[in-house]
Amino acid sequence: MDRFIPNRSAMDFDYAHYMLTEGKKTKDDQTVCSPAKEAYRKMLAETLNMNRTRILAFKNKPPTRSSERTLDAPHLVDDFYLNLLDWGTGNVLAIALGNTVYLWDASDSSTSELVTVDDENGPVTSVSWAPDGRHIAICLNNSEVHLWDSTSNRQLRTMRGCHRSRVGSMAWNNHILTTGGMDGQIVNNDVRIKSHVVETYRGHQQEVCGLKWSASGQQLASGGNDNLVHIWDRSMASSNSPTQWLHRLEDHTSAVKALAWCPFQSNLLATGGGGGDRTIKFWNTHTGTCLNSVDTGSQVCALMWSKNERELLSSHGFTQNQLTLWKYPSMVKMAVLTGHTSRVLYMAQSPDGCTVVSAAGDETLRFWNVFGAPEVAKAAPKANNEPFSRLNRIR
Amino acid sequence: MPYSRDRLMRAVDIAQVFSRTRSGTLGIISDESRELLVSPLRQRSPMGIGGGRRRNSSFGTPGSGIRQGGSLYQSLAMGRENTPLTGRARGRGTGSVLPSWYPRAPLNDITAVLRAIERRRARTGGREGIPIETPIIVEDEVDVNSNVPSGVQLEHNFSTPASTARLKKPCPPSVHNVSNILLSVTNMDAEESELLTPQKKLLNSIDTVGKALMEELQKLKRTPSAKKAERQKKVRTLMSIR
Repeated sequence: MDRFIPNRSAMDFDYAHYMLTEGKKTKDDQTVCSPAKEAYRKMLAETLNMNRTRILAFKNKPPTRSSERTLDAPHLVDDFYLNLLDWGTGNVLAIALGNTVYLWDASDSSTSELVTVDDENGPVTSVSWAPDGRHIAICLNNSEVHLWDSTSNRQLRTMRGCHRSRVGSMAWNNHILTTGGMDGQIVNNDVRIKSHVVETYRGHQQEVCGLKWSASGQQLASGGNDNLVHIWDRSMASSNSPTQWLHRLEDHTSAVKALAWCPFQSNLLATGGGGGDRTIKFWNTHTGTCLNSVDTGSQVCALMWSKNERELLSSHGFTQNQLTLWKYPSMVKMAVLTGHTSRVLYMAQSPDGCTVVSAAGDETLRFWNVFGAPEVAKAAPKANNEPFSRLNRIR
Repeated sequence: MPYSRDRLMRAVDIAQVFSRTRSGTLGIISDESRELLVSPLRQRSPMGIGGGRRRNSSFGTPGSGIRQGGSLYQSLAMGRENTPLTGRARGRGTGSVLPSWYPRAPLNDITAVLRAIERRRARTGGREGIPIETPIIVEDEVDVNSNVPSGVQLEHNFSTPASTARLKKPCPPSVHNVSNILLSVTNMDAEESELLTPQKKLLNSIDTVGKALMEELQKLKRTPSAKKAERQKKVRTLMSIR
């Protein structure tokens, strides 16, 4: 990525040339120098900014980038509480536009239609790829959950009755499909068996808009329109009493849809609040404590950790409709991605972790190469063998 | 709508049904295989078997859910986070960044179009006040208008160099014509700017210039001197063969 590529316009070429060719000369006659002379020399070098060892210079303010590619997305439903975009491990993007679910194959940029539901049952309220990247779950406004096989393009099953109203969020955990509904209930469905409802988590009073399983599959994070975040632990399930949460996090003051488990630090969860809250908060899900809270200035619609770097990407609404890349844990803004003209409601990441796709109410899908590639050849600074100077210009 | 029971005995290939029962590594049990395996053979609990479609009646709630869902969809997106302040009510009706005349297709690549619109917007800076929305009907009238004046000018310009005998030619007649055509197009543009989009103007001017150049080339071919030169060339070729 370009953060590792030196910036020519920021470089001082005269100094670079000097350091490469004549910089060593000063060392040779150090023995014949008097201390006063040496001190004077040092001070002179400092004043003239010549005592640094780094020659290459890099840009050090967050670059504003534009998207690499934009796709048209007519009839995309502009609803904060839905989750209409998902990128599967088979490198196929699924997006629901109104009553239709489209599949976009990233390898050849081809589009195909998976299904169009009836007007009275639609629109589609959420889509989620199974971990195998082949099966996909689709929820309709009438609360039905449909399971499809994308390779053979056929519907395998319809799950009804798990919710009383629409299902806006879903999360897979191997063969368990967890659904979060407008009725505030979270249901674990085992897709292998006939009576699929195996567990119900009760705790939210309003619509469940965010749902994410941890990488280990042991903990589930849920966010709702009631401003609450719950952490559910599978080991706490009991058949008699209604399943109790492990933690109830009440710090947010708006709906929490943005949830993201940290890939490089277990038990670390990032949550983002809606329009009245506008903060990103970090939690230790062992103890339930809030580690940090950052005010972003606008509604946080989605959060995504980088798989390759220690970075977090957030997508926002009014007024800038931007995506912000933060360094973790310093929470320094590294990049601001603009282009959308409406709040960036939906985000997904490519399986290789390099590309992020975002969809907004402006009916466009935008692709951003915001996360660096896993192996980046770091530019070695062409300095001589002096120890690192205190002037560090790499961002 | 109730479906009649299938009373005919049909041979069911159990092996095939079993192979289709579970899909993939996930092991999702499919509805159709469940029906095939169970329904004609024996009765189970009254709950779910005997045709998947009948299940609708056994659950009271999805019915009400459907009605609820329908009305919810009708009334736009509800909820605190979906306030009209977030931009839905403002701006263009569709909420799209594309002009209304642009053909929409799901997941169509519009990168180039959006970049062109951005460039044009940055260049004009809104001084001409050209809106991206435009009525398409005007196109035909404009085309007719553009052809007539440029044609007239072509004739006029062409006659001058041929009639005068000059030793030095300031510039060839075709260049004259092209520059005149461009002038006429830009002049026309100033009048009709509020009715044409930048893209349409570009297309129109490209068309006009192209037509003029083709006509120019053909005219040059038809002049007596050109014909003479061609004939001489033919003669030379034949003589060399001889």
